[in-house]
Amino acid sequence: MSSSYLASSSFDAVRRFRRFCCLAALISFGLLISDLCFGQQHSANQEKSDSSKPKASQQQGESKKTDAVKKKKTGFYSPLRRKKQNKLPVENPKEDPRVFLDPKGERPDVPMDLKKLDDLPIELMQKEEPRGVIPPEMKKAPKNAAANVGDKPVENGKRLDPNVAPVLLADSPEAKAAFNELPRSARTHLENVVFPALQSGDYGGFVAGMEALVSKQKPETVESIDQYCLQIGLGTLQRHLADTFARSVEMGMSVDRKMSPAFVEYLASGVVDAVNRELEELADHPMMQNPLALPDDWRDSEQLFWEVHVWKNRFNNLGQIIQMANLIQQPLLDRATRSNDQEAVNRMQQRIFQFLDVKMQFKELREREAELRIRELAKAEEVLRLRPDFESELNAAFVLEMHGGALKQFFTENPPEKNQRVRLSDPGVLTECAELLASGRKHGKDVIEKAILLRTGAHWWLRGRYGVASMACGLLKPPAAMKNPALMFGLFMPKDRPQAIGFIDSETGTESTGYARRHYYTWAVERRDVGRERGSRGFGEAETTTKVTGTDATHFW
Amino acid sequence: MSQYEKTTTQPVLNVIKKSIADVDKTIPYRLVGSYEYGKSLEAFTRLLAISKAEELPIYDKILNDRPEFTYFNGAHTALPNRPNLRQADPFQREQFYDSFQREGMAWMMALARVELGATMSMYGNSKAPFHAISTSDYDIEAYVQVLADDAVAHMKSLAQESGFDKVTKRGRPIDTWTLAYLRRLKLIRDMLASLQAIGNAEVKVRIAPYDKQLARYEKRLMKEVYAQTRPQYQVDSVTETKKGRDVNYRVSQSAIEDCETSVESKSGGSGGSPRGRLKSNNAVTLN
Repeated sequence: MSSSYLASSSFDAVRRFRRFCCLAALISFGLLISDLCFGQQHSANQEKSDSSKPKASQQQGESKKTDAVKKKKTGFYSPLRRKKQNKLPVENPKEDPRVFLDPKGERPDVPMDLKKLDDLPIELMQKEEPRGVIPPEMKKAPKNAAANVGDKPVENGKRLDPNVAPVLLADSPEAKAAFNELPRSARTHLENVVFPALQSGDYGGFVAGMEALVSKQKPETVESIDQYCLQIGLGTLQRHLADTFARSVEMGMSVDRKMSPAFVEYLASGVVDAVNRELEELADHPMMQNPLALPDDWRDSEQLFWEVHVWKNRFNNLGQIIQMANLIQQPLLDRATRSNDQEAVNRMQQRIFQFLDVKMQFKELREREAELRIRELAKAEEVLRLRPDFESELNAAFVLEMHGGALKQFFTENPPEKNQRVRLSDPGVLTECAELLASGRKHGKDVIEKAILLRTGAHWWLRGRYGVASMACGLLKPPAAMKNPALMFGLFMPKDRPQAIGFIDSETGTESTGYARRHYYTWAVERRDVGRERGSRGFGEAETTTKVTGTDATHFW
Repeated sequence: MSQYEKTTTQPVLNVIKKSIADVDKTIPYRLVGSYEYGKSLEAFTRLLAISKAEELPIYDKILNDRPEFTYFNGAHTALPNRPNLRQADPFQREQFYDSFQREGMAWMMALARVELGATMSMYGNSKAPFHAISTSDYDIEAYVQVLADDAVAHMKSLAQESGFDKVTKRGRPIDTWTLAYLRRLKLIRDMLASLQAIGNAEVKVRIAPYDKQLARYEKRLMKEVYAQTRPQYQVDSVTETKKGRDVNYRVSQSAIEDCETSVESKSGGSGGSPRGRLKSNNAVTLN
């Protein structure tokens, strides 16, 4: 990297020279314009301007219309707005001196050779689309672009992989035919409002667009639109709407309950499908299999408990989503009850009963977790009693304290008589756990404090490094955190174990200096925004905090 | 540069009291990392106090088993001197890049100290923020390495960014960008000062060129700031010489505070979205 500063003594001279160049350019441009206006090329330009006038006015009309639609107030508010992208030049890897070529002049397959980098790229916090950032693949494709559903297949109803970037308005004959079968008003609305909002991550705009679409179109048309979106690999708009709703609730956004009945029905069914997808995913988890098996290696069991912890958070979020969905649905249910519309009442009641499945699954998960904790507690007590080596004692001591505390909390909330699983409903389980805990503490009293301090320090370090708050693109906690300990503590954390940004750009294989510190960005905390940086000139311009390459989005770690 | 530029064309002499002045003073506490790294250092420091020397490698072994406790450091100071890897095979390249991985409790503590020191430098009143956070023999070496690398990284980034050029344009009104760059220059200045005090000879040699470069940046920015706020500025340690006043262009905390009072308040200026009201439960509602 080379520095590009100018000596202060010549800085003014350069400034004056720049001004002179600008002035000269302005004069030249003026002369050119006058020449064009009064010269022989006047007639040709006149033809061009005449032919372009209808298009210009048409575009102007469309842009006004789009602006008018965008200004419409919505039920959700998204703090993220589409920002002007940083126009950094895309570097040609073959010409980039930082790409290390082999003697034959061919670009080596760097990411494949560097095995330690197989775990790159870093995944998003909740495997969702980058917020407010447009990967290049998601930009509207030119009309001649062939249909492309991305590298990974998108199955019906499954969540769209954020790394897959479908091309909207695909040019395949089948997709085109399906799109043309839709009513004209629906097509216009999709092209001008819904798809752009979805692409740009504008939650509020997307929800408003969907509400307008669902309210004004027939149910059969809405169904056709969803089928079309499935066909082009986007996934149904109903699923996207449910995901947007879920995300908004998780972020604490208020919801406008004045929604049309058709839209409420559409949204509620989408939420039910989303809930069912979550339950199906949980059913496949090793924790829910029979018989319940404890991993042999302590690292595997740690990973398992970490995943359970993530699932519990997901269930908490799911509970809030369901509660909000019930609130939205309630006016409709009341109206149907008053008007004796038994079919509608049954339909909505069934949704509520389906939501109750979540509670039962959550309880099942917690009981299984508690059972595994008891087994881990017994193993830890045995290690502390036998004392093989300091490392094992440290791990066992931490496990003892962690599981002991968690089991105490569990049995306080769920006494044995309220549990379904046989192991936990045994009246003697409380005594057993207490005895194990006491024995472990007695044998390991000299290592317990060290184990707790080590894990506590590491845990806080992890939060400091990877935690994301709610303001200033994740850098700043809200002002209320000064008075509310929960807000001071609360942070969004990565769902999967995060890893630091490496030195090789996983996409291009070029060298990157992208590893980051918080103070690289907090100096301009008032001006933080989400932007897109491509290439590896440095750790980014002042405005950007989130770096997005073609396949992954990373925060500032 | 920003959508707020149109609202900051008022003369700086018309000082507008910031409506969020009270909120701004909480920024160092609300920055993610301040509380967390502080708690982390608290635990690790206590752990060091009660542990024996032979136990420390065991802690490192436990932490090194987890990739999330690994980070990278050293590239910004080392890259210009890297070996020619164009002809190197992938294994050699892998070895070279892996050499920048840092793991272990000492490095974790070092990073935490640097981040805390940076927060105190940018938003606190400490005159020597990187000295205020005391180190121990256990992590002093790592601390110096991280500090040096981060200081160099800031300097290199300043050289490449267009933002600094825009901020130092003649006649550009003071706004939050000016404030941000003042803060940044102060951060780098504090880093270099700390390195001069605690770094070894090699580190001092490595950072020496950046000291002069930083002075030039400071002068560029402060000249523009003084040009607009000279009647109100209390210049830090102005030296009276026979030829006249020799103005010190060092960015000081008092300069930053003066600049803060000159900047017009904006809704959500302490961070977050420019629209919407933030409620105490962190819910955002539409205006």
